[in-house]
Amino acid sequence: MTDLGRVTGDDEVLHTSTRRRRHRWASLGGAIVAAHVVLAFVAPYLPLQDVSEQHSDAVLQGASSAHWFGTDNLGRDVFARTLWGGRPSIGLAAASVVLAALLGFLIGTFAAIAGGGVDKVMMRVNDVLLAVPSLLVLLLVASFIGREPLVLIVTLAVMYAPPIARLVRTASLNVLTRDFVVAARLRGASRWELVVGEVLPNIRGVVLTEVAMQFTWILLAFSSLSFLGLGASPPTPEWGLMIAESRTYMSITAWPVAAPVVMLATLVLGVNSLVDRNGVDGAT
Amino acid sequence: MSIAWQLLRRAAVALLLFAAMACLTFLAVEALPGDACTSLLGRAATENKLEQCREENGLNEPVVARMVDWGCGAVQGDLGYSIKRDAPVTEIIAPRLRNSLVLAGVAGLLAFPAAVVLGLYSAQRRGSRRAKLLDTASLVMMTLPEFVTAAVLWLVFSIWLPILPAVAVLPSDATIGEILPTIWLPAITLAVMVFAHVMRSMRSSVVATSARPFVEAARYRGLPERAVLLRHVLPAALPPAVNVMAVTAAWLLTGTFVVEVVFNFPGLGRLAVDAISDRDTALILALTLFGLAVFILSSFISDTITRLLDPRVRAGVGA
Amino acid sequence: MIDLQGFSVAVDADPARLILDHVDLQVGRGARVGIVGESGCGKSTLLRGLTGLPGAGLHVADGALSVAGYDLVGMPAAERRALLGKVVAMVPQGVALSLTPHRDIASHFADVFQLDDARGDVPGRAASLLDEVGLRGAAMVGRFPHELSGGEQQRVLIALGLARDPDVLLLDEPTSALDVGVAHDILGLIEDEHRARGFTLVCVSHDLGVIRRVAEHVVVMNAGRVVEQGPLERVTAHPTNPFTVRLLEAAPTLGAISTAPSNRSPLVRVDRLTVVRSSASSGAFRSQTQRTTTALDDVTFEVRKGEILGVIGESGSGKSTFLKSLCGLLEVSSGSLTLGDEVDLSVRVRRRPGSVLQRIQMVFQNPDDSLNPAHTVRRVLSAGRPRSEVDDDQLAELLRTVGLQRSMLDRRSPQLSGGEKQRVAIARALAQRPELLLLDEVTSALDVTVQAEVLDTLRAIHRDLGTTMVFVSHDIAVVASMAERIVVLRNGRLVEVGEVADVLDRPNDHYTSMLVELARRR
Repeated sequence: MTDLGRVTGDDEVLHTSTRRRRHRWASLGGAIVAAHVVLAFVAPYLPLQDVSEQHSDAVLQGASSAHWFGTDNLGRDVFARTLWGGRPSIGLAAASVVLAALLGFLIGTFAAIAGGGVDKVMMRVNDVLLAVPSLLVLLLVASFIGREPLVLIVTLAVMYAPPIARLVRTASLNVLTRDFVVAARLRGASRWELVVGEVLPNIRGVVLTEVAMQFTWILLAFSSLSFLGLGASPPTPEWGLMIAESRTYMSITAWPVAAPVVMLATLVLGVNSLVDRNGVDGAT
Repeated sequence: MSIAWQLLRRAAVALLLFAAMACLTFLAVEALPGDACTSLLGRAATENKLEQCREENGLNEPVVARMVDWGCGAVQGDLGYSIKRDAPVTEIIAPRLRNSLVLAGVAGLLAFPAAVVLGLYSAQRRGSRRAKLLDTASLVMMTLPEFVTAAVLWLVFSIWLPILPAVAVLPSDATIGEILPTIWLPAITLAVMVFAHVMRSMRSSVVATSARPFVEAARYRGLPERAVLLRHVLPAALPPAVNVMAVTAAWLLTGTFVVEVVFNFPGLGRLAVDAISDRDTALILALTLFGLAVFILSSFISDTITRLLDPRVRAGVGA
Repeated sequence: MIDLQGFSVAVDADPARLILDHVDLQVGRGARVGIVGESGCGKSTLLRGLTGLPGAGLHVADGALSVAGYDLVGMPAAERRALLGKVVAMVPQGVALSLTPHRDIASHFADVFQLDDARGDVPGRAASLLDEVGLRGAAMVGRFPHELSGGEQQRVLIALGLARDPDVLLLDEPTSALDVGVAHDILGLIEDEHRARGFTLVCVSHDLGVIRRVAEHVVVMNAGRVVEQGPLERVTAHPTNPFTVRLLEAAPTLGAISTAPSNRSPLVRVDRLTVVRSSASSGAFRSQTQRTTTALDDVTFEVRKGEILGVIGESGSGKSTFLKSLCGLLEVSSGSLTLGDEVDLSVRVRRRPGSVLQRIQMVFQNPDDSLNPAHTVRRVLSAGRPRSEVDDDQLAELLRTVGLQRSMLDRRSPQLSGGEKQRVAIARALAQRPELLLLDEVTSALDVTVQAEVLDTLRAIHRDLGTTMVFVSHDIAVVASMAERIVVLRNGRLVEVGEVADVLDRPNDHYTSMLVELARRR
């Protein structure tokens, strides 16, 4: 599914450029995302139980006053693990998306300005990269090269830059054909001035929306990788990994799976509402 | 330039593209640290044993020679030999490919028709309460990772209402009759994703087309809503949706790692995950190329359909 | 035939906002009514409203509408739909987009014929209707919309409107985006059809010339209200409403002519200029062979220092190509283009030194496209100069030159009207202190009253600053009111060049005399 998001979503985003309607969903989404980010930052300073301390006498318990979300199969406190569990994925996804946005912006604007053969070749390469299933590449890299954060960040950035590059190119081309750009050329503006002064302010909105969307896909890709055992390594608390570890015990207690599922879902939906995806094409 | 000639030309381009990517993939897999012998011997590897193993399996030949060799074999249907599994790659892949095809087929049948119909419905009834509900539901379905959807479905259908088997333990060469009963949960999980993507693209495409002046013109000519929709809106709205359908169809065949692992389904996705953790390079190479081929083929098909829907191309104008 | 009383149309999302405010209108059987007004006055909504369907996002808020005895507002949607095209037919605006691109012309007719459940020879019937509107029907039925010219599409739309022999035919801007000659023929067709079929005709246009041709009764609209209506002769000769007076005065007519002082030295020499443009052929896919067209073919004339040179031509005449070549945006294929005595203008914009760039500035046609919507007017006007060099007083002075207030400095283009945008664009060009100002159809997207004001401003700038201007337009009346000399271009060739008075009174060429003749008749 992370690949589907990577390959399909962007014509919807393009419509936002014309008019973005403020929506109460957006502020709700913003609040959720902010809460997630704050939690991820402050989790180490909260009076939580130790995330890796095992209680062999209290495994797979339901919610209680001692363990608010119960315990997992090793008797670890699910509440603490859930609050900590966003730190690796959010941090890694944020770093990757910043790098991907940078790459995508540079490639997209360069292709748009260069035009002609350069543009064609660059977009061909871009399309080829888009056709490669990202999860497969991630699995390969994590397995053969290693699962150090830096390796994963670079891989994710390279895999998720192409959709951003494509959008930046399309949006830039739209702007570059407009008369105010010609006016700037007639007063002698350099290519760099055209990109930064004329194009960038007009594509900022759409590009940010797209970057936010890619953030969620990267987040999910990393969680999937952890789920498959090649992302975060045990005993690190990480949502995807927690779900993988506890899913076989779901018939006994749902807490260790349900808590990270809810966190992941609210974060992803929060980002989606923040950029107001549902409101976008509904607004005519 | 006639339409047949155009298609031929594009098919040739697609083939060339595939060949180029196959070479790149071969080199990329070669460049990964470790090879079949290090992974086969594991901790027991000594320089001597490794050398002997590489000699036996022809791994000491130059890269280009092995690539050409592999390519010639592949054209004749020989995708290489898995040292780790001690079997020809084609023999390993064939039954799982069949299983994956069945899974993708069932998921596609569940998802595509419903997505097209409901996408149209949601676009037509834009603003109504049902349409809003549908849009929000599809957004949730689209953005949740498969393991979450799988967990929820599993909880509901296997634990609370035990009507569907949770995890099948089946050999990869089980008959289709044996597989079908266990296919529902993975198929529904996949269908949920695919449905959401296709429905949303259908909806936004129909909404965008409906705003174009020729639709209003047709309406003012007195055509019934149904005729406006079927004859004027739909053909113009289909191409983007067809494109998304092609991408999702390709994904159903090649991107289902997580779902197959979750439900222990004996298909290509799980095979790929296993091959990667075993570092079975021959198998990884074959599976990667299969994935690429499916993606290139699907984009070729969607491109062709799009062109056939456009009269400017059909008439051969501008070519 | 049509009886409209207290008819009001409101926005769905904001029912307090009325697009039409209590409009009354009575039209007799077989009458010809013209509705005129500026953009946003509600004239198109009124026209749609006559079908009972005011358009997407709008609804009838109040009033009664009766057409041919039917109550189109009160009746159920399905019944109303059955009357569309049969009792009241609409010929929509925007020729290039009103035919469904993936259906051939015969299918468009088949759709309409089916409504009367008449089976039979669809292509034959369609062809005879197309013959009637002046097309070669048999050849036309199998074609797709993109294979038709703008004029042909408009004729097909009219034929579709006539297909079920309606009592009332509604026409929305039937000549917009068409060249004058084509527009003239279309209006002739409408007159002929009205004479032959005797339907009631309601035509909307922003162009008084169009209304004069097709209507006998005029309705003048402003801000959602009918401000004046009456017989054509009475309203145009003795308008009673101040808005009508302004509208009539603003309409450009052949007349106001300034003469060119003699013995001015040339500023730009155009010598045997030929520009070949290659364009990837239209369509959604890449083509193998690029098409080339000779956009300017061996053209020779000069722009003289201090004059306003009018350039007139229709689409494809090469007038935009000429401006773009001057700016260095296109490759000059052969011939020469020189500024002053020495500067070679066949050099592309990237290679031109700043001193040359600054001497030539341009103002563009589309107001919505010519200012960066992300920038304030202050930034637009001071672009390219170091911040320390620019102060607000200077910019305010610049704004005053183009008739704007200092308070505009902090606005962005989405907050400006069309006329204000064009004024800011003129100010941006003047900020570079150019010797040569290129004006590319600068007023053609503006309402006539705004156009008149902007033209006045340009005349004042010319008078005060003495800037040489090249004024390009498709409208010979506008050009004549601005320019001292005129260049007429057609299909990339120079048809005629000379003083305005000479060209108007004694056109050398058949094409020019047709343009003058058509402009006189409006």
